[in-house]
Amino acid sequence: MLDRNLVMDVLDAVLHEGGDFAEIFVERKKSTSIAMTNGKVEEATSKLEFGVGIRGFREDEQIYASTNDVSRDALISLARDVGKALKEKKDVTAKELEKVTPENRHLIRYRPDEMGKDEKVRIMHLAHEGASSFPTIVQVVVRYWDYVQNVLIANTEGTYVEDERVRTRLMVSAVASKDGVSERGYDGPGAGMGLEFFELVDPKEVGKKAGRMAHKMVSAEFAPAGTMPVIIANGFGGVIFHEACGHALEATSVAKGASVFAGKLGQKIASEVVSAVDDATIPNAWGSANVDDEGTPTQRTVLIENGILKGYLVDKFNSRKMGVPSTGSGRRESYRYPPTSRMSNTFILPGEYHPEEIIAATDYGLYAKTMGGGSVNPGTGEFNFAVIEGYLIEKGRITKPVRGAILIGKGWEVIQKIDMVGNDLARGQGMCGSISGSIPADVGQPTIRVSELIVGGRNR
Amino acid sequence: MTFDEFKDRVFSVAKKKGFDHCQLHLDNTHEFEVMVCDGKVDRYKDARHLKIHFKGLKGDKAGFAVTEIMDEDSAGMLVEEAYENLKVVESPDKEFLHDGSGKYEDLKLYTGDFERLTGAEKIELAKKMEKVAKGYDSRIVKVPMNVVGHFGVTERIVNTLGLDVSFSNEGGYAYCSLLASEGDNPKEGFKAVVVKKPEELDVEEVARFAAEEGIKKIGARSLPSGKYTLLIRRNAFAQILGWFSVMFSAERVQKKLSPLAGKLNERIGVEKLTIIDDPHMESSFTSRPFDTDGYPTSRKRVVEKGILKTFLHNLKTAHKDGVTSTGNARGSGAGFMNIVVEPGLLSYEELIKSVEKCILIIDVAGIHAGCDPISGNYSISAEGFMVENGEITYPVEQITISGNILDMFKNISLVGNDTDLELTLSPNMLAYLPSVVVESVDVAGK
Repeated sequence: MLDRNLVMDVLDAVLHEGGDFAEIFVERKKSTSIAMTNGKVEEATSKLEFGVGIRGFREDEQIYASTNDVSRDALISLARDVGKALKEKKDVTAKELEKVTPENRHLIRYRPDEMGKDEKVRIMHLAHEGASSFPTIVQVVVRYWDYVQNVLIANTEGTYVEDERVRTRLMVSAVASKDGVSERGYDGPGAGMGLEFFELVDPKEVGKKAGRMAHKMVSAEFAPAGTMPVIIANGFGGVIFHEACGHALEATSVAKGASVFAGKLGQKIASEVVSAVDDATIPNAWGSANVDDEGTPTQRTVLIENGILKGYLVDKFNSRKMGVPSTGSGRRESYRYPPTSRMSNTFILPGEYHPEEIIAATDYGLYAKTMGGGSVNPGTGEFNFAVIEGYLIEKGRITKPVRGAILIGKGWEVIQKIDMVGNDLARGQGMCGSISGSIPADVGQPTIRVSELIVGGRNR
Repeated sequence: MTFDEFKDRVFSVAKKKGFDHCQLHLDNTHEFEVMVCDGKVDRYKDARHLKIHFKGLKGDKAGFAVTEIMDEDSAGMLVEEAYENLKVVESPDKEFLHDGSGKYEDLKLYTGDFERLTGAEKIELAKKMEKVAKGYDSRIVKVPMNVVGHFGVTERIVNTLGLDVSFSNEGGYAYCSLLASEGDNPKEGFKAVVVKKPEELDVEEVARFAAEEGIKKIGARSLPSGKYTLLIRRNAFAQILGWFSVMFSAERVQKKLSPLAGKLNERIGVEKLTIIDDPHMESSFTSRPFDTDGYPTSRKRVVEKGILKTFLHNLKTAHKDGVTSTGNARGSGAGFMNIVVEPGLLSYEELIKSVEKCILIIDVAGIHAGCDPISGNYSISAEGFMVENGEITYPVEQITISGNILDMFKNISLVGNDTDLELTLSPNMLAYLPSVVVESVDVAGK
């Protein structure tokens, strides 16, 4: 991707001017996106991104610069700028680069960049067909996205590693309309796979899921407002843990003492039925990689075990500040962003209950079957997220659909209020946005119950 | 290879491939941001990149491709990929390129002043911000984010119909996020400002505002669920209105993905509500003389005294509706360049004084998840202060506000005159608007 001697010269050029550590990140990414409205492809775009990011540390300060002018002169000059901005030259020299080829855990059968666009369009038509098979559906938008990202990461500690990340995703959004009311249904599965993904996931079923959701919700009443028990279904429901807890376990906020969970290692922060991990090693998962965007091998990190805080997600820079090793969690959207600690595939581990038992044990509350997105303030723990498919629970049974609900709370309170955990662990895919850009991340959980949460809805 | 050499190469390859006409859109950006925490540079980003968008026409259809590399291979790849992409298009909607006709406003948007600031000067500004915030009060326990940033953009669109236009714009911003606490329940103090010139960047004022707000929020509590009057401060109103502004896109209306479909020239809000798209505000770094179709932009009333006057069009949607483009193309859709709300008569302080009981909403969260521009429904997290008899009485947290944006437009009872520039969640659109009072909104709490 970039001449090895040039890589070495860039690293040397940084240290020659200043700092005690230098890193280069080279990225080439080819992507395809296709948009279909009401069964007709409207627009297809291909994209080729290519650029370089150069980073330097001096003790616990860091400087980052990026460009897509990859000529020798431009890169050396940029490297010098990074070194100069770090000021003080340290007595550090770059170690000899030692190329490491990580074991590839994510084998690809049908690379998306080698498959015809017709094949991708065929998959989209199937999804459209599935979504439009419900009587109230008035509009279906199907999006397809794939990419092949090649990265080269080298640093002055001798790391020299290349990795390839392949991802494919199908997103279906269906709108149902009835008596002047419109509601949306959505499903967007993806994986670190090529087109073989659609042997595992039937595109028509993806469409049906979105269509069914919109169809049900358009006849629903607005969700009731107030504080009540909430049962959150498995899979994408794990966005609650991602927002309410996961972001506050990232070293990005922990290292500065700006997280509600800073300084609480070994302490009980959640109810004892809660155990959670971040695992970037799961073969072909949406948030997996062989190495992170700093060249560190990825791993499975236990975050919470039986309610006790066991670990944080750490990148290289914050590892210096915290004095603990990196957990292989340094991630970034592209060469345009300096990396920081981020989640990969993060989920609550299964517990002992069948989901039916959890519902039967609840007298009144909200069943959040499908979650939308959300956000969190890691400093205060305040989070929010939308329920795009909800049902009322009355006397231990799911009774009627409700729409327009949002759940809010404080992460550190909510994880203490999880009182039942199901045995049906599943994961769902999302794009997680934070300071180092938008990256693919899996969320996940079994069905869980939170004894009380504020449900935003309409007053009866 | 220079851009002009690359352009000539692409145009010649495209002609050979069989495209009738084609266009390149060069987007050259520089983003700088520094974040200081505990007196140290926690983050420093200096990113320069270019993107070249190719659009090729053949018959009624278009094919698209994007590259970040300017060389022979890349020129060939752009054309090949775009051609393959064109072949899979099934939509019957006709695609267009603009020939450069019309009046292009000569806007003074770029001076290069931010580019002349050194990295060290910008680091100092961020450090100063932290120092002022920390020193403001002993209850300010942490100031994790002291950020100073700026960016510059140069765009050029050139096509085989004779269009060749370009412009540059720039702007800066700063924000401070801190934690205020007297014990267990930390509250965030936050303030962001957007400016056009470096000398307008008052980091001390940003720090003081954030600190003051953080302290005022200490001891916040939730409220009983019910219907309340809301005084929505302009920064929160900018976020809500900015997110819902996509409802005005003709593309969404044509696809029945907007609650405004079929409402052209109808009343959608109170008399007091006038919403303008002003792409020519020289104080805004999202202003531009032409849209992403290369079509000239213009100032227009989208909602005039509550009446919906126009949707926002690009070349493609305009043709479909039999109208002319409003110069609002953005990528494949259309949107506001700057969303402006006409001010009313009362100052922010007078707004507070003029309501007997309301919740002053100073911030909202979860917009992207809780606001649905297809139905207009919103249900979002909010915080602020209780206002009783014209006085702020106590801080409020952990509530949600819910309703439909069109009901909000109809229930606006007062519009302030405290108009200023505010960020929206879209990096391509700033808001210039006042605070508003909205009657009868559903609130959920404890």
